[in-house]
Amino acid sequence: MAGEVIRPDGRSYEDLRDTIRIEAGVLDRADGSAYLEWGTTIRLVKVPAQEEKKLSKWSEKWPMVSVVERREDHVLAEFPKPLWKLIDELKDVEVVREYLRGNKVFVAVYGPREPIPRHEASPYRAILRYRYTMSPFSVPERKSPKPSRRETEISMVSRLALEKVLFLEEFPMTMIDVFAEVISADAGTRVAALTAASVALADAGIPMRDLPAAVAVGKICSDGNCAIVADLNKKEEDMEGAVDLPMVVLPRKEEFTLLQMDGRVSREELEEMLELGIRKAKEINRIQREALLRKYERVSGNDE
Amino acid sequence: MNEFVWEFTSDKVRKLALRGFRIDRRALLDYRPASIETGVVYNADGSALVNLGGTKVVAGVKFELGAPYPDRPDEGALLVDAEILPHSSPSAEPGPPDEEAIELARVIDRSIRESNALDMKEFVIREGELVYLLFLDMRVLDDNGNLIDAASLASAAALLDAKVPRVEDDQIVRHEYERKLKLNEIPIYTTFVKIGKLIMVDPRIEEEHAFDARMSIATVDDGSIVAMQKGGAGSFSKGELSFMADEAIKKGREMRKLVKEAVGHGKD
Repeated sequence: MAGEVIRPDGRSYEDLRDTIRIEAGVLDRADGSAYLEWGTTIRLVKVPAQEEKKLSKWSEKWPMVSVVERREDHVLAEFPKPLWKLIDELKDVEVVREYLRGNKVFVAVYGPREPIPRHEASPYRAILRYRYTMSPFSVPERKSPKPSRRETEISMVSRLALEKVLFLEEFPMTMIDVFAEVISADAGTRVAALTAASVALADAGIPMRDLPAAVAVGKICSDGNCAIVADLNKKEEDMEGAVDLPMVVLPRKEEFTLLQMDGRVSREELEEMLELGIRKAKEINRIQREALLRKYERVSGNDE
Repeated sequence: MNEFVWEFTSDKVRKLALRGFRIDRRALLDYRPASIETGVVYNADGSALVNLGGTKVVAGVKFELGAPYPDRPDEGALLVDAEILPHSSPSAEPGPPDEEAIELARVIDRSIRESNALDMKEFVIREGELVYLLFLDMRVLDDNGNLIDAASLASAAALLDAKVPRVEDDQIVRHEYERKLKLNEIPIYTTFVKIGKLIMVDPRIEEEHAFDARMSIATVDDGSIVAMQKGGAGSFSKGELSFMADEAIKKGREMRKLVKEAVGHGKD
């Protein structure tokens, strides 16, 4: 019988991270675009030195409660949103500011447009290009701006996740470009990029069979206990024995167009993870739809 | 937009310029509205997202450790890079930085280096062996014209936002900081374009396709000029250059204030 596993940011097993925001149509020059933020909202709190004992106790239980800077008579500590109630238990504290620890992605879509190189054009369908890149400053150790093998593979599986969803056969001799730039990364960047890409494609007016939603589920273990959880963050992904299963789900058909996994799971666990993934993708799908609706409210509001 | 459309809008921009007007009815020496948001990237040691009239640039500062240059054993290193992402316009192709992106990075690099904005001697951990390397990376997300000024605002804001990470056993401890990054100067570029006889500040994309020549002047608070870059195939007179230098000093002060306000907001 499995005991309890505590998530580093204080979430329960099936919770997505506390902050997921999408905005459609954020770039002027692209034909369609979306900006997505997906992560944990952090409060940076000034904690007097005499309260530090409580802090270290909490940090041990929830590693995302952590000290980032030490001053003479106080420390600056981070509190993830699900654990903000802890701040009330401290005396003489001051919230300095709030920020997101998570993924931030800009996606631009161009097309259908003239293909480059031209000889790749197909008389039967549009060519889809998908390019996933990360800013050098998005990750803990600076990433070289040169394309990596990781980015190449993610670009490929992402393209394949979208190809059958788009009515590419309607646009022979053309090309559709999807560019995803991750400016801030904290686990689950490919699903964040794909979730935004889906909204950007709709924003560009490309006809689609469904609005694909992407999410990752997984398994984390501590002290011999394991749990199936939704939406792993970086701290969880780095845990010993963690399993990560990113997926793209077509919400209407409940089918998967992207599925990858690293780690070790049982057959039963896999089934549980796939079910959880479908449920969570539907939650993501609602946020995607709301983003698109908001854009058109904004546009029609301007007309009046 | 294709070549034909640019020919058409350029023609309109040039015709309006003959009568002393700009295509967006802006005064000749007015900037478009600018917004600056700092601390936008958790893993960066300093970061900023700038929107200058629709031109969007994100800049990030990251510290790494490495060996100093052999001829400068008592200094850290500054490495500046820029990429004009394919997001930024239909003509920006994915791939390694082209000449425009490399120019952008070098132009920004010069303004920081030549103004002595950073005290590179503060970045030494063990002389001749181990120093901080400061990486400043810029990514252009949306190009509505005047990348140089937008990148200059973004990099200044990212540097002002930056903190120096703590080092333990010759390794950087991520997300733990030693001190704020000290900036001696805040160099700011002001870019002008000349269309016919008219000189205007902060060109939008339609004006960039129509200009004869471009001039970017980086200034610091005491009114010194610390870097310049002429662009485009046309020419400027000495009188025009003096005029632009005066205006750049004034505009630089205004924009510097804007950056400082953005960074000062709610920070410890």
